[in-house]
Amino acid sequence: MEGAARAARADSILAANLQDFARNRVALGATVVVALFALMAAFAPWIAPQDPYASDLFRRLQPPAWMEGGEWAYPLGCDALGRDILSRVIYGSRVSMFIGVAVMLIAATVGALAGLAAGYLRGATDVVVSRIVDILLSFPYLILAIGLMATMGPGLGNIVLALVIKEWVLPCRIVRAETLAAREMEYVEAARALGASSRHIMLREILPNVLSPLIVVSTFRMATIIIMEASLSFLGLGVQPPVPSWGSMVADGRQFLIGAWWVSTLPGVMILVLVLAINLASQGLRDAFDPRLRR
Amino acid sequence: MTPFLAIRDLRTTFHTRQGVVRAVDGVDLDVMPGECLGVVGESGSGKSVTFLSVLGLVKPPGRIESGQIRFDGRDLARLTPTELRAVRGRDIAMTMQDALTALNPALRVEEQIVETILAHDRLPRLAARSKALDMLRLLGIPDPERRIRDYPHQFSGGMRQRVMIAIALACRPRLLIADEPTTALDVTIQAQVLDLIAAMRRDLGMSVVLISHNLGVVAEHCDRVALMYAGQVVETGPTRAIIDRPRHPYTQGLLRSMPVLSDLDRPLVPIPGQVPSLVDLAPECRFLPRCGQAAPECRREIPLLSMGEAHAARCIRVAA
Repeated sequence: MEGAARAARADSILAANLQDFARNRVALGATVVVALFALMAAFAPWIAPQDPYASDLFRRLQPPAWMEGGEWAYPLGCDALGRDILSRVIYGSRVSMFIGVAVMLIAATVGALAGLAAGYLRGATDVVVSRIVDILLSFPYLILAIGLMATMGPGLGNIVLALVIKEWVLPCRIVRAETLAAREMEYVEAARALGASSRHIMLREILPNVLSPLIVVSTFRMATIIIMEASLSFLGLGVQPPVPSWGSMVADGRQFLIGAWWVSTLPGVMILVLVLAINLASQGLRDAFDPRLRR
Repeated sequence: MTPFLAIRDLRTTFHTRQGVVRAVDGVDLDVMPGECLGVVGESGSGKSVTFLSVLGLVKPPGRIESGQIRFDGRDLARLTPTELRAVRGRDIAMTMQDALTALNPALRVEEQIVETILAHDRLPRLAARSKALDMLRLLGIPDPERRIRDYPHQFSGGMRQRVMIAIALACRPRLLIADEPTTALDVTIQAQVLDLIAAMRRDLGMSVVLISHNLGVVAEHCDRVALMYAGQVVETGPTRAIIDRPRHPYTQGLLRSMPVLSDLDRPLVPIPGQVPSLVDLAPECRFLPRCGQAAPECRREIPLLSMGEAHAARCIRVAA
């Protein structure tokens, strides 16, 4: 009952959900962290203290500033080619954020359209879409991505494509299931009784009603997408050197792990922090958007 | 006068696992220009399905077996889905029973009205919006400039019903089918909404089909009434004639089960028994098991028998 009263006060259900979300301290904090990563990616050239591509062989494997032999101009030390790790980590966030956001948006759009069509039109459309979804779900994610990258060759666009090919499946399933429920609602029949077209009903009547689960599942998936990109780059199939990516930086430092732990560890910590923040934020979104979890 | 909408021998069936349900079984109905026709029947009598068939909105496993739906010189039962979609909303609009579930909870009222207008008219968005505001004003929604920005859950039941009627009337249809427009409302609000529909009919010069299970509601607002029972029209005629001289035992039973203000001491007599299952109906009068005046001659298909001044009933006693 309290939830209904709250919804009535707020401008819309979405606004009420966002108010709920804002009350969740952990989720709000996590969102701030994600936003900081986004800012870091956007303003990398202004934030980075050094040129991420400039190598200085005299600084090979230089330790972080607080350790013996470090200097504050290179706060997190240098990698095997004498490049500033902090600057490379900052630039590396561009790749992670770009791929995370791009794949999420494209996959959510494609998945939502396919899910709406399958769930509303049913029949042959549903059979075709659902079978493609089943086939893609039966592939192990990383193996499929490795195979696609090996065929298409490296490059930012190809990474996005390789990940989208599998990633649209999840929003599609969610949207299809929600659409199946929504298409039986009386407001859909009312819209049909007033001469609305199928396209209109799918995009203007049903889509706004399935937006909440779509947003929740998409934000959850963004964390997985970032890990997938890091994995591909770690395996050398993702972003190509010298462009810095957290995954390839972890790979580069592997052989020096005993003597120079910072080369691999720091980009690894970045992956951990960003993915954790995204997960906590999307957890908060789900709690706020799923009425069954309302207290 | 030629009817505006003429339904002839409409048969709509639902193929279910239990068998073929004959939800609408040979219905003939006419709607004259500018008139209000009341369609009365219990749940499952086929009144809603009849008009869903008119608009081509019967969902599988239901389908129209046969019959003609002549509207404006065309047979709606023969139109392609695209042609039929152009008729819906533009020529014939239908409002659903429950305004709370028939309005989209995720959209502002503004979007719902404007989108309906734009679906049929090529208009600038702003013009559609001012048309929407006119509609809300016409339906007596206070402060329409502010309320148009609200979501359906922010309206009261009666206001919601008005919003739904406003959406249905947004394209100025020539025929409004109101499916139980007052069922979910308080009695006082019911009267307001019905008066409003009557006023709209006068002002916009349209015809109205009022579907209801309440003979009293219909009697007050309709020129003619058709009573439906088990998928058939059992009695049809001018409202006055039906109230004063009901000929079908079902109509008589309905009237006996309703209180009358002028005679509050009169006992109310319920109709015994229940509506028959619409699967495997025998070729006999469908009211037979519940009829107090049944005779051996009732065990055959009874046609609608006319008794003058457009009054007809599906009962052998009419001919006698």
